[in-house]
Amino acid sequence: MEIYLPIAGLPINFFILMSLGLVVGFLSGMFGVGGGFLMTPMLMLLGIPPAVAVASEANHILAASFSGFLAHMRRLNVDFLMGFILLIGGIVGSILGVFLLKYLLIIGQEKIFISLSYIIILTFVGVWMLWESLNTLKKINKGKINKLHEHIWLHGLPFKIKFRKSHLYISIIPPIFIGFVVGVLSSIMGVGGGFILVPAMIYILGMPTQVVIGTSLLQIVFVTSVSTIMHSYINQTVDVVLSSLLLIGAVIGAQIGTRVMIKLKGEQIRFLLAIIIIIVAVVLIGEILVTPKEAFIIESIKENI
Amino acid sequence: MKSFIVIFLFFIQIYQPCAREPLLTDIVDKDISITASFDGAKIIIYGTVDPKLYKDSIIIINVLGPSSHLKIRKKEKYAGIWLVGKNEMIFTNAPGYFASSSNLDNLKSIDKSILKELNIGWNNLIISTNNFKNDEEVEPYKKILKSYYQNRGLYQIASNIDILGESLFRAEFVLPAITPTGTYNVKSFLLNHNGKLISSWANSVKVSKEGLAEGLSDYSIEHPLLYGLLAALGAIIAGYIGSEVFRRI
Repeated sequence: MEIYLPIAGLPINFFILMSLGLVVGFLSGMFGVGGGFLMTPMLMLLGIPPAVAVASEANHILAASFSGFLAHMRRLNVDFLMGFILLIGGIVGSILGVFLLKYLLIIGQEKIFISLSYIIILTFVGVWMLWESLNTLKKINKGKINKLHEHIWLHGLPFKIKFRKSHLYISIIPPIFIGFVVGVLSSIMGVGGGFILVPAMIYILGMPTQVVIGTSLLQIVFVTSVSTIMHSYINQTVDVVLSSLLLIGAVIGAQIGTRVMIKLKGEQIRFLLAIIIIIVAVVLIGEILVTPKEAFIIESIKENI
Repeated sequence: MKSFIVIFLFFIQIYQPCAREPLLTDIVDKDISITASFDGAKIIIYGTVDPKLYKDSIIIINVLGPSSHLKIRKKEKYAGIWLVGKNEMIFTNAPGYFASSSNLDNLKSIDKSILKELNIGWNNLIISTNNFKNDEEVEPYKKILKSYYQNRGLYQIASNIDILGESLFRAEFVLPAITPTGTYNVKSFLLNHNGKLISSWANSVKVSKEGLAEGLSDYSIEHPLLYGLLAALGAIIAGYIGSEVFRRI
């Protein structure tokens, strides 16, 4: 069944969009990541213009992450205080990111800088997470009990407060800084930043994995709300028919993802997420190494430029 | 369709004696609407040629889609890595669709300077740029655009003008599902066997969004902020409904 997308300007099969939405919703509910990394290339492969793909996907991920967020909230897996502090850093970071992007555009070569730094971060995070989760799994099999979380010097910085939900008493400087970095990244890369945020909350802040996912979803709800509104206000590129078709699958997928996630242990979730992060890194590496089918980019631009 | 031909022939019958126009064409459906189930369309053209001139003459029909601003950048390989190049070309009036058809197998027998003068064929299509580049710089980007259109059915070269009788001919052009909206200019040329222009005729077709598709895209442009807010609100409501429904299962 083909449905015409008014803003993207082409017809797309309804069932393809449903299943894409389902997969992304599942990942979102299970790992607390947005899923933009998967959707942008897929939608572009279907012939949707990049600008429309990115904007409509923000709208669709908003639905998926809100659905997942509510499910996590009911299970009391959201640290609102932490989410709020991360958000403050995130807002400042994303504003700065916009200016940074402008500066990089002036120099040229912004793409290589961004792709390479993203690939390096993802590869590092993915491998580290895989190694750590495997070790933990082994230790648990041997019957050794782990500490709740490791204390690192960052936690001892000034302005300490109590995060009840996360069982933490740490300085607010690291969460603000993490929020800031993720904000910068999401402005420059056009991705939500869940891939950086989730591991950072687990390893740097030492939050329990289950709480991390719910809190990350809270973050994504805010980021995607703002970007949906900004994209349609500035570029008019949000295709609501496209995002509506995607979100049918997404809200269902997010609920299933949440249910699967609560059955798993923290280290099992981290292990699966590590594998997904490594796959994403490999795909990104492939993207810059493999000869493209069409060695050019054509964009339609507004007349007044 | 049949009634169209009857009316068209009738129109020619009245028209011919007084005007003696050597070439006349008309289009079956001048308003193509894109609805929720749009999956491509066809531009069907009927035309007549003065019977005295019909033998050995050459008919060429060009269809140019609505023009738009396009930014083209090449991807280049640096140190084994594919990057988007620094240079960009901005076409300020690139047609969104290009098709040409004739009753010849190819146009090689026609003098190139005539084709150039009439702007027939992709190579003779004049696309302006906003950064005053010379032909040598523009040419590679025109080639890129051509292959981009070819891969998407937006570029078609055919020799499928059907001769239906002594003076009647018919041609059709396929518009793919991704065809842009706007006015399509259809220009028909009648050349004698030496390639000299005898007559030309122009028509146009309007492709526009209709119904829901039109309403949504208009609304997104006229009220962008409200559209964005509603889109975000819609997504939140959908997320809420999904969560509530699942809670009860």
